[in-house]
Amino acid sequence: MSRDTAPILEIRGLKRHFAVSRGLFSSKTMLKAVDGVDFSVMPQESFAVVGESGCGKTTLARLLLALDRPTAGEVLFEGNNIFSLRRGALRRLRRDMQIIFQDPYSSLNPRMTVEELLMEPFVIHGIGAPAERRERVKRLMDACGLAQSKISSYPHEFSGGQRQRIGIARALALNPKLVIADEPVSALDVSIQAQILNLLKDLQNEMRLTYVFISHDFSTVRHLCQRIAVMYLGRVVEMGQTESLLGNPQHPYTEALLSAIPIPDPNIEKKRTRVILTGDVPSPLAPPSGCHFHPRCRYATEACKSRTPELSETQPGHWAACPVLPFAQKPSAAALIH
Amino acid sequence: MDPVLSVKDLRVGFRTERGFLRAVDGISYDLHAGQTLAIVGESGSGKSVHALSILRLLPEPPAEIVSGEITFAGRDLLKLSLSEMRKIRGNRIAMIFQEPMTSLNPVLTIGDQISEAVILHQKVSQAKAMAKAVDLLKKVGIPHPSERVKDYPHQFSGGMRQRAMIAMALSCDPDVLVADEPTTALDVTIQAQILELMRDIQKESKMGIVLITHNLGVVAEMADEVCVMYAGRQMEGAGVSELFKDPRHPYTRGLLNSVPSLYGRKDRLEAIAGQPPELVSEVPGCPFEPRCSKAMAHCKTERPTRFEPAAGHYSYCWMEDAKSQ
Ligand SMILES: Nc1ncnc2c1ncn2[C@@H]1O[C@H](COP(=O)(O)OP(=O)(O)OP(=O)(O)O)[C@@H](O)[C@H]1O
Ligand SMILES: Nc1ncnc2c1ncn2[C@@H]1O[C@H](COP(=O)(O)OP(=O)(O)OP(=O)(O)O)[C@@H](O)[C@H]1O
Ligand SMILES: [Mg+2]
Ligand SMILES: [Mg+2]
Repeated sequence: MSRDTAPILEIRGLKRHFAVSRGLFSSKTMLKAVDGVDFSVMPQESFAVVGESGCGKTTLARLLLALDRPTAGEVLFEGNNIFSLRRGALRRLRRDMQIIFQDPYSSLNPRMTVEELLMEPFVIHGIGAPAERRERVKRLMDACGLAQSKISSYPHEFSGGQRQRIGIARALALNPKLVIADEPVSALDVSIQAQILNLLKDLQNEMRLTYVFISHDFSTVRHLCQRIAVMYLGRVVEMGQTESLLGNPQHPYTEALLSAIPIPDPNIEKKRTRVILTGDVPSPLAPPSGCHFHPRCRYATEACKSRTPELSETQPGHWAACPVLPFAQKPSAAALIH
Repeated sequence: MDPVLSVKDLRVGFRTERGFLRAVDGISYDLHAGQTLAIVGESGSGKSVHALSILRLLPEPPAEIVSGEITFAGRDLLKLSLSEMRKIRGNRIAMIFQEPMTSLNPVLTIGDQISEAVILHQKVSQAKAMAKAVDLLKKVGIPHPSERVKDYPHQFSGGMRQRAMIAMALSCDPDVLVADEPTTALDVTIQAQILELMRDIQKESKMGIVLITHNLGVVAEMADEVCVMYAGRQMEGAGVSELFKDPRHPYTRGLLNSVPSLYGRKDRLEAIAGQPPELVSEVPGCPFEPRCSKAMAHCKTERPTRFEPAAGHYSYCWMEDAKSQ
């Protein structure tokens, strides 16, 4: 990745607030699902967004694909704000940006065969003559490890891993530039996860894809992504190169998240330092004041209750939104890469 | 020391339209007091069916316990009447399920549900049982328990519901806790809290835990012993350090290699090609044979027997036979 190429995707001050009513007669409250997110992604990079349930990952993904409109902020794809595109340009964008969903069971139409499912994108966009389309479907199936003999089968005749392959093949049918994958392997068994992660990596090399990979699991993104952004209640709290972020986390939430992951090695498990957070993830309807993480943070000071921290660059390319920066001098013992 | 729970050659299946489905096809293990036995395996490998069989919670039919013995406190649970079984269930053997919402009653308060469980097994007054419920919620780390007992399940977060389930399961100091994916539906920071809680309680009460999971990280963190299941069968088992250090069965090896890791550098994950077999057709040999890179001719036709490459370490794999000759 060269420094002077322009980002393929730029996200600036992105917010999505939902008006929700809590009770029958109560007034509406604002649920700030995405609350001021900034980052950019370079061509052919894999960028991960990691965070726990409800932190706003899927809401962000929908905004990036212009499937939803923001409360504030903009998303630039190849320099153009996707929310002010005209119809023709939006159509073009829908070819260049694709999504792979978490749930391979509900995202495929059960009444369509694999061939029909994979043919559909070409039909919608009026691409190719029937013979050419059929040829491209065959090539897609090969690339995604789907047997040609199954071309007339329906989704329910496939296992979860194979269904996810169909989802991937569909997303890649029109040679997109950017693929947003929202928890693409979370619903799958580990041995199948590995197959899909390898496939995503191979396809990225072959097709020069850019990925935004959404996950709650650091270990899967580590294999695929060069950079990671960590989200907590609608905000990015830390962002950096994968090795730097995992090896030297700067934000106390990242530290806690890393140390909560059970490591599949009993020797490491016995020796490691753990930070067990108290309390639940707070409700996004009533987020704590100041730094949203302060009630669960063992380094919190009085000031953290009132001041909203901004992302600042703590090391080249590594950003954290924490004014206390407890690991500036002494790295966290929960750091994972040695 | 005698095990608290001993399972011998358990076989359980379902009558289905497509034939008899062998969900659990010969599982044996011993669980000792104060120890945690982890059962790992992929989706559909029979982990939950085995757990439900221990508590006799499977609807028969369509389920059918074909054979086996489950010895608890000197008695074979499979031979007990349903009323005898009810006395053991919840009282001496408790279970927690993956999805707490499906096992909590939405129209009763958390306090009512826990105190009801207490009264069912101990002859105490309503007031005493409620006091115990408050106590239990406090023990599992619910803040302001005396107010929270009045809440309904939907007013609790996922992590809190799972704690409430654990409180209920522990209400009668069971000897054995069967925990079926107790943290799979939870975020990692909440999972870490729940696992720590289970360990603390176990230290105090010496209960034996059968922990069902597909997460090898959770196994490494929690287990003393591990049993690896595949397609309804036991593939391998050993003490936790031994199993991770010296996995014998090709399936166990494949599983360990395919886990993405936060440590070390692996550019490519070693995926196991293919998928688990259909359980409705009889598998005469080893069910892993079609995916196994080490398979020999007789792996397809002859069911592997139990080999013990080291004390307390077993593997159902013909490779061990070849090695010992
Ligand atoms: N259409 C909507 N109306 C109101 N609230 C919404 C809407 N969509 C999402 N939310 C809320 O926004 C917050 C973020 O949701 P989102 O689905 O983006 O989280 P997530 O990080 O993808 O979580 P998960 O890991 O569970 O998928 C949640 O509190 C959710 O309830
Ligand atoms: N009531 C039922 N009727 C028919 N088949 C069933 C029934 N319950 C389970 N099975 C089958 O028994 C097999 C084992 O299922 P089980 O639920 O024990 O798997 P598991 O290892 O717990 O998987 P998971 O990790 O997905 O929970 C599966 O093939 C399943 O489809
Ligand atoms: Mg989501
Ligand atoms: Mg199960």
